[in-house]
Amino acid sequence: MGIGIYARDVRVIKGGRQVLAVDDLEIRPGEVWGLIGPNGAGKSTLLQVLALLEKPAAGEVWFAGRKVDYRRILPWRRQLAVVFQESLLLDTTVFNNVATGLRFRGLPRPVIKERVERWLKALQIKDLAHRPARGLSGGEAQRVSLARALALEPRVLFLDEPFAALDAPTRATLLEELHHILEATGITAVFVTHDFTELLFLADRVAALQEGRIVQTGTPEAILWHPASIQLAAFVGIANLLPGEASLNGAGPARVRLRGGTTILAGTRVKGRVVACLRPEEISICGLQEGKEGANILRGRIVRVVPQGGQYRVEVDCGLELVALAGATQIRRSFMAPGQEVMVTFPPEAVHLIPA
Amino acid sequence: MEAVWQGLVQAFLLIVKLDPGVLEVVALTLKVCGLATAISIIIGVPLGILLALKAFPGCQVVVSLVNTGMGIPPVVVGLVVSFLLWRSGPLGYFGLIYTPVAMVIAQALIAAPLITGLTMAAIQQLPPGLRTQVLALGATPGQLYWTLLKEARRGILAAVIAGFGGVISEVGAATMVGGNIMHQTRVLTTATVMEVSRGHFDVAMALSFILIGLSFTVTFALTVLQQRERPGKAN
Repeated sequence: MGIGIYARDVRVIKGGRQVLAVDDLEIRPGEVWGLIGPNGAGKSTLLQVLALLEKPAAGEVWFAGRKVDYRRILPWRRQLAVVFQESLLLDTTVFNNVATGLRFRGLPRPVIKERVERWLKALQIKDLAHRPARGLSGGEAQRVSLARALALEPRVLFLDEPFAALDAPTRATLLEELHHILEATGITAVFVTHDFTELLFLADRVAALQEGRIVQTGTPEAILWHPASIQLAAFVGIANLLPGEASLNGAGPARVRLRGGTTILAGTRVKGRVVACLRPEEISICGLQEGKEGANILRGRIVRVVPQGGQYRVEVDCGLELVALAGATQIRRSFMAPGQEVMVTFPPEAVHLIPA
Repeated sequence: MEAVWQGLVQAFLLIVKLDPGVLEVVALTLKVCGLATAISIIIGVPLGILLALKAFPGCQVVVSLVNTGMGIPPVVVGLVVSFLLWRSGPLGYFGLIYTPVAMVIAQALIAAPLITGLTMAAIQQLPPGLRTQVLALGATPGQLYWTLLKEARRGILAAVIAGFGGVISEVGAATMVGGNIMHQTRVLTTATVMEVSRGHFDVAMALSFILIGLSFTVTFALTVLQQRERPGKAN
């Protein structure tokens, strides 16, 4: 079972510059946390501080309710395991790689053999046990790296963009396996990622970092749909950031008069100058003859259709530029072509307002 | 060409007949070079690891000194050691000048910077995150250094090969501090120089061939050790 981690007033200074300033972060036992943020936001530094691989210039880290003593770090460090983006395997066999941490702990040989074999089997790499680690493919190497971490039976698992260098199918498979392992073992986990599908799939909670500070914590859905700042909104893939003026009229949704004159309804109840955030996947596009009723129905013309992964990015000019995402089935419809007039709809609750 | 052929024949005969004079020189060569290399490893490998992993004030100065030492002419080392060990010198009290110990000291001073510098480079060439990864596996400082040493073993063996090559081929310092005294400090390189000066080219050639053979055998053994688990090589 995992343990809780608590970080308070943590400061990290590199090259005379403060790169991390976390006032308060509490991770409960068994929770899976994702750390997100743009490059240089301090995600990896925070992970290294929590994994006790970097001593902060100031602040405290608590494990299982006890303050970490950096003068006697080893017993603390041996309660956790870290998987990096690079598999960083040692120049020996797969078996020896997975056994290394266990040997460091001086465990008896039969215990090491049993644990290594169990985790090689769990990660479906038992056949590779006696292969030199340096000859493995990227996916195999990362499985070995995961097995090496999990064989330590850590109480906290840290993962620093563990699947970033893998191809999409391998990443999907490993993600699913890791999800099952974390569920089955109840290990507390903290991972850094740039991939929002990983967040939704793995994380219970997310901390978003910007310029070394945690700017928002919450569920993955809260961060992705209701980001606290405009910069974070752009970072989490909200392509439609529309400045305007919001007003409240009774208890209903806020009315937002966007720059350019279009008025839309929004779920967030704030007033004054705002930026309306609308995720592309919340926008539906239909033909002019398909009668739509309700709020936020705009008439526009498709400007561009660009393939994007397994979907299509559709840019529509409705007096304001909107970006929507369409699936393969939708894109085959006759009106989904540049130059075609369409109707664009989105529910008010999909519009999140950030005070500007 | 005839001298080369005669040298080969002479070397063959000296080895086959187990010439006591030659065997004595070979034994002393191996002893002096082996000891000097061993001392250089004891000094150079930990120092190389320290310089690669630890940042301390004056680190760059030490690294520069090591790098300079890698290319220092052996005669300069011979001169310094002679000065120190000379009977009237600062360490003359120990009476080490013109002894094999003096030769070991001089040769260790020649090989140590080579082994230090190349060990440092071997450790620095490891993947940047490896140290953090090994620490994350729960290594003690000793386990960390041992693991990194094993990871850099090919580079470190190359350092040892270079160090041994440096001392076995060295003649200037050996002559200056050893004096090429028969039955005491005569090694293959100093004996070869002496035979050339006497005009005994065939003997000099023979000694050279033995020297090359010796150098090749030791280097080959180290190379086998270095290359036996080369990445990409089938086990």
